[in-house]
Amino acid sequence: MAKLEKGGVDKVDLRKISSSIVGLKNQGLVIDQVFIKGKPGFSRVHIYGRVDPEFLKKMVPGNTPLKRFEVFPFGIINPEGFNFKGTVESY
Amino acid sequence: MQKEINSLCESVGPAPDRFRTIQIHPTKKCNLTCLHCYSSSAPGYHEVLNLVDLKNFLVYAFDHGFDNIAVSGGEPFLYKDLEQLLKFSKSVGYQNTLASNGMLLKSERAKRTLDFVDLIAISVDGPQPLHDKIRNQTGAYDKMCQGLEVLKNMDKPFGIIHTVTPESWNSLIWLGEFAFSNGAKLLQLHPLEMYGRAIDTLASEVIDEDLAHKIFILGHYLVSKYNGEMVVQLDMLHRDYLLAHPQIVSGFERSCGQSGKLADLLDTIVIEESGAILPVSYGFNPTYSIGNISNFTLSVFEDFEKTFIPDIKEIFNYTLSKIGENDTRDIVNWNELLISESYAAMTSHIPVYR
Repeated sequence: MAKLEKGGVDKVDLRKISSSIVGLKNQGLVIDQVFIKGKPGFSRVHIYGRVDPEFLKKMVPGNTPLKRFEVFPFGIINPEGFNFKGTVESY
Repeated sequence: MQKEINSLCESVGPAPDRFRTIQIHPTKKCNLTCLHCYSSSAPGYHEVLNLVDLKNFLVYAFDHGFDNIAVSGGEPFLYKDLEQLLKFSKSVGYQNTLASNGMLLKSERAKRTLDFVDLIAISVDGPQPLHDKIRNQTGAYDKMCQGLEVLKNMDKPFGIIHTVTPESWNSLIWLGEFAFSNGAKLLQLHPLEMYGRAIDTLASEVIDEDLAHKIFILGHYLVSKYNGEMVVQLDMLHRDYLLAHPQIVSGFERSCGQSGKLADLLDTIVIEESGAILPVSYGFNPTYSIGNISNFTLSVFEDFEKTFIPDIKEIFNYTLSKIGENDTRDIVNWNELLISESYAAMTSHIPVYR
């Protein structure tokens, strides 16, 4: 923070760091969204939730050609289940 | 070649996979005159949406795939029919969300209204001196904090929305701690847009490229820091990411976009305080208006799709292609660019089909 604030990171490094973040994000589980002014990111709150590793093991066996997936708990306070969607390679 | 599991874009169904939002501005009346307010809201406004018209339109729109409302303003709690509106929309099946300054939550009426709210987002502009300065009112911060106490006592899910400015970006770490320590479910960081009152009051506060990178980096630091405990939503995208996943911002890039249904093409439509229904976002060129809630017909969406969707598709595509061509601008405020392009389209490259 101090480096960012005092200009200790130059333009080239700023771009490199941002690019690195994008590289990591592209390997992530949840695809980002953007929201317009004054619209709370409600669907992000719905998407948010810890995923049970055992559940994932059953749903996503090691050899599944899964490229990307998202998990949707239902409800904010007390999610009781979640939906699953994903993208696979077809052959 | 890819095949998608499930119907990723199905707009009607018991378990929404992606919310289609109607952003409602029932009034521009506000108890504040914030320096960055995109709707230039203020105490002097008196025009309000007619509740009967609004109810009729909400029923129509729900049948056409919209399932979430986001009430903004002005200050929503100054809309006298807010409780009735939210009670009604809940009965129809909508998720109810609000964006508020949090200063008017202590009354019994406000608490009753909150019973019908699924998520409320409170605007926070930074630590007390900065918040009061941007809110243009001494004591605004303290009253907002009192509002948060009301929400906490009611166990009501709430988020914090912050407009990031050149003056506030170095408070983002503080803001994360503030939101988390108060039990927020969401911290949403939205970059300042030069629209509404900001054009006059914050003209020198433009977010340049370097600062955009800093905000992007800090935003993702906060995403990581609070992972699993609080959602941190950053409304800025990296150009590479946007070009790799254009479906994030454009329904025309999704498989469901082929359906031609409005709710599959546009994540958001907006109802202004005048009753005008706009596509995409507040501030989008009103030439592309969908209609007005006071006199809409039961074919208003279909009529709009036939008349304007080709134009709007061009605007989306042209905005994406411009982002692709400009490799000097890495961090993108998609909505600001899209709105700007909706005006540029009238005078340049895109024919208006009518």
